[in-house]
Amino acid sequence: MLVAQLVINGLGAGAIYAFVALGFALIYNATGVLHLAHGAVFALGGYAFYTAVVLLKMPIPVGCLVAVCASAVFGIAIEKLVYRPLRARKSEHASSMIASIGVLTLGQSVLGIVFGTDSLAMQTEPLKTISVFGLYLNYVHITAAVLALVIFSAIQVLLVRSQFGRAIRAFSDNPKLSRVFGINSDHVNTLVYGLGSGLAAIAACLISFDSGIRPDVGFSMMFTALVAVIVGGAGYLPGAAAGGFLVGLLQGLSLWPFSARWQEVTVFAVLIAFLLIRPQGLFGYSMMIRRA
Amino acid sequence: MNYLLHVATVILLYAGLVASLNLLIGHAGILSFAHASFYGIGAYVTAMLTVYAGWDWLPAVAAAVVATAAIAFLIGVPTLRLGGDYFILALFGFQLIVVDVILNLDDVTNGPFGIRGIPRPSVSDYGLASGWPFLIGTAVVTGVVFLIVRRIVTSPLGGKLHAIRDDETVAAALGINVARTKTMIFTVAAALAAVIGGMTAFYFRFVEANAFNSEVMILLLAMAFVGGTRSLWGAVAGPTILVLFPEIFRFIGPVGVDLAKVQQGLYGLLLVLLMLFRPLGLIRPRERDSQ
Amino acid sequence: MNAVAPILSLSGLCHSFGGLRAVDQVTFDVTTGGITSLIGPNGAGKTTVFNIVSGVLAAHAGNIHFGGQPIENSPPHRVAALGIGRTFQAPRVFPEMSVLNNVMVGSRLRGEGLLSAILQIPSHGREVREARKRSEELLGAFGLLHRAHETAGRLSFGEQRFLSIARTLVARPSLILMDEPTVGLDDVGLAKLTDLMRRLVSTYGATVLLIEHHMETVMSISQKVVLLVQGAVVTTGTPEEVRNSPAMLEAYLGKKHSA
Repeated sequence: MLVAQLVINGLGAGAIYAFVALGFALIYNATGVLHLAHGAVFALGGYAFYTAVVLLKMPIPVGCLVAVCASAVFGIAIEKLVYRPLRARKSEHASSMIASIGVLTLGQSVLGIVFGTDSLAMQTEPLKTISVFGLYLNYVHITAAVLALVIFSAIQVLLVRSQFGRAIRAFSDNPKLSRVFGINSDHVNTLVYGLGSGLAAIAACLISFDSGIRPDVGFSMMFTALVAVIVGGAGYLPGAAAGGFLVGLLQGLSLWPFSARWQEVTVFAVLIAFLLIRPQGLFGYSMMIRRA
Repeated sequence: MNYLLHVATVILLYAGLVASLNLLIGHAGILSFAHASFYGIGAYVTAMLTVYAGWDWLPAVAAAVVATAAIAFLIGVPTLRLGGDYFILALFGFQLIVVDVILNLDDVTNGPFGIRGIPRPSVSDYGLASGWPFLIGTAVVTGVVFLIVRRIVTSPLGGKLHAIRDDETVAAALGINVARTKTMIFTVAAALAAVIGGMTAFYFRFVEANAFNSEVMILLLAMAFVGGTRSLWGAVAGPTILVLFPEIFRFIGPVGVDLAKVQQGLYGLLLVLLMLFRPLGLIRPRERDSQ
Repeated sequence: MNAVAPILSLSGLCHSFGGLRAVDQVTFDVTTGGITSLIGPNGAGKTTVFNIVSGVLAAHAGNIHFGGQPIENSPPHRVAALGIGRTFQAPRVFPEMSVLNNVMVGSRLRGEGLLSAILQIPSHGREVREARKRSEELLGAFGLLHRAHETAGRLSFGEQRFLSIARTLVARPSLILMDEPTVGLDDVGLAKLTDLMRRLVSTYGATVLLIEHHMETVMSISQKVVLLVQGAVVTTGTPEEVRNSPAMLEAYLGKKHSA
C-alpha cells in the first residue's frame, strides 16, 4: 500500500514536471535554445498566482489565468530582449545559454527582493484529500491529472492540425528552409515562448498548493525538467511529458528506500543512467547539437 | 591594512579559480557548470583530512586534489563523450547535487554546520598565519596555477584544445581523440580548482557547503566572462572588478539595501549584458592565440 | 589491372537514415597511388560514404579495408592515425587560430601530452620546432607563408580551402579523401588544385579519393571513376568508360534524379 501511495504522489509531482518539461521541450525543439530561464518564468507564474489569489483575493481559475499571462509575457520578453538580439549577432550557442542562466539568476533575485525568501503557501490548512481504494489523492493530484490530460491532448491536436502547429514543426525540422517558405521565425518564436511559458505557469499554480513558492525553486525545477526531457527523448514532445511523469514516479519511489533529502540526487542518478545507457531517451530522439 | 590584505587574498584565490575555468570555457570550449563543485570538494576533503584525521596540510591538499580529480574523471568520462548540450546538463546537475550530498552526508561532513578549526599551513616551522605570509603563499599557489594554464595553452596540447573548441569534427579528422582530450583537460581543471579549494579552507579556517553552490558558480562565470575567457589577465581582472565593486558599494552605497540579495541579481544581469554586448570580455584578448 | 593491392577497399557498405537507404551495398576499390573520383548526382550518398570511411558514421553493414586492415566502425581519430586524411565540403579552418597553428594542429606530434606541456621536456620542444618547419614549408608551397600569423578566419575562401588541405597534408597521410575541393575556386585556384593533386600522387606517392562535380577536373586527373546513384554503385571504370556509359547519361540527364 505504501508503494502504491508513493506511486500516486510521484505521479502527481510528475504531472507538474511534465508541464514544465513540455514547455521547455517545445521551446528547445523550435529554437534550439537551452532556455534555462524557463525556471524564472515558472517562478514568476507562481508568484503571480499567489498575488492574484491570496493578496488580491481573486478566484483560483482567474488567478491561474493571471499567472499564465504573466509568465507568457515574461517568456516572450526574454525572447525579444535577449535571444533575438543574440541570434541577430550570430552569437555562439553557448552565449544564449549563459545569458539564459543570467536571466534565471536575475529573475530569482528580483523575486526574492520583492517577495522575500521564505516559502509562500497558498493556504494554511493541509490539502483536502479523497480516498480511492485506500489510497489518498489530494486535489492537486486530481487537478494535475485532469489538466494534463486536457491540455496535453489539446497541444497534440494543435501541433498536428493547426497551421501554427505545422509552422512549429516545420521550423523545428529545418529553420532555413522554413524561412524560404515564408514562415516568419519571429512569429513562431513568440508563439512558442508564449505557449511554453504558459505551461510552466500552470505547473507553478499546481506546485504552489503542494509545496509553496520560493524564489530559488527555478534552478532545481529546471534541472528536473531537463532530465525529464532527456529521459523522454529531447526531440519528441510527448516524450518530454512522459519523461516528466517517469521522473516524478522514480523520485516518489525513491522515498521508499531513501529519505526525502536524497530526492535531487535520485534525479541526477536517473540522468546519468540514461546518459550512459540510452542518451536518446525512451522514445529515441537525441538532443540536437546546434552549432552557431 | 588587514582589510586590504584580506581583499587581495580573496582576489588571488578567485583568480586561480577563474584561470582554471578559462582553460575549460575559453580554450577547450567546455562550458562547465560544475566548477564550483570541484572547488568545494577540494576544500571539504582538505578540511576533513586536517581536522578529523589530523593530517598535515600538504598531504591533505595533495589527497584532496587526487580525490577531486578522480571524481571529475568519473563524471567526465560518461558525459564528455556525449556531444552537444548533454554534458552541460549533466554538469549543471552535478553542481546542484554536490551541495545536497555534502549536506546530507552529515556523519562525514558535519552537514549544514560545516567544518571549523582548519589549521593554517606552516612551511618549515614558519606558520602561514594571517596577513602577509598567507597572502604570499596564496600568490605563489595562484602563480603556479597560472603557469600551468599558460604552459598548457601555448603547447601543442593547447593547439588541440583550440581545435576541439573551434570544430570538433575536423579535430577528430586530424587525429585528435576528442573525448579523451576533453576528459583529460576537465580533470586537470578540476584538480586546479581543488588546489584553490584547499587554500580557501586554510584561509577561512572554515568550510560550509553553500560557499560552493550554484550561486558561486554564477559568480565564477561572471568573473570569467568579464575578464574574457581566453586571457590570463582577464582571470585577474574579472575577480578584481567583481570583488572590489561590492566592497566599494558597502562604503558609499544606499543604506537599507540588503547587498547580498542584490549581488546575485547583479551577477545575472552582468552575464546577460556581457553576452549581448561584450562576449569577449571587457579586456580584449590578443586576436591570435599565442604560440 | 593493377598488380598492387588497392589501398582502400569497400565491400557491401550500407547505411540508413531512418527508413532511407543512403548507402546501399557500396563496393569498390581505390587503386593505390592514383586518383579515384566518386561522382554522382546530388544526394547520391557520396559524402555519406566518406563519413563512413572516416569513422564519423557507423557502417550498418559491410566492411572497409585499408592497407589490408579492417577499419569499419573505427572512431575518426583512429582512422586518421592510420593514415587517412580528409577534407570537407566547406574549408572549415579553425577560424580563431592563426594560419600556422591551423597547420601545426594537424601534425600529430608524439609529445602532445599534458606532462610534456607543463614540464616543457626538451626533446619534445625539438619535435615542435621540426613540426613548425614542416608546417612552414607546406604553407610556403601553398603560397600562404606570408599570412602565417594571421587569424585563419580572415583568409579568403580560396586561401582557406588551400589552408585546410595543407592542414590535412602535414601528417603525411597515405590516403586523402577530398570532398568537392574545387567548390568556390576561380580558374587560377582550380589549376593550382589540380596541379597539387597530381603532385601528391607523383611526388609524395599518396592516393586520392575525390568527390567531385566538376567533370573537367574528374576527367583530366582521375585514373578511375566510380558512379554513385541513390546510394548504389552503378558503374566503375576509367574516366572515358564511365563518361560514355549509358548509366552516366541516365544519371545526369535521364530519369534518375536526386532523391
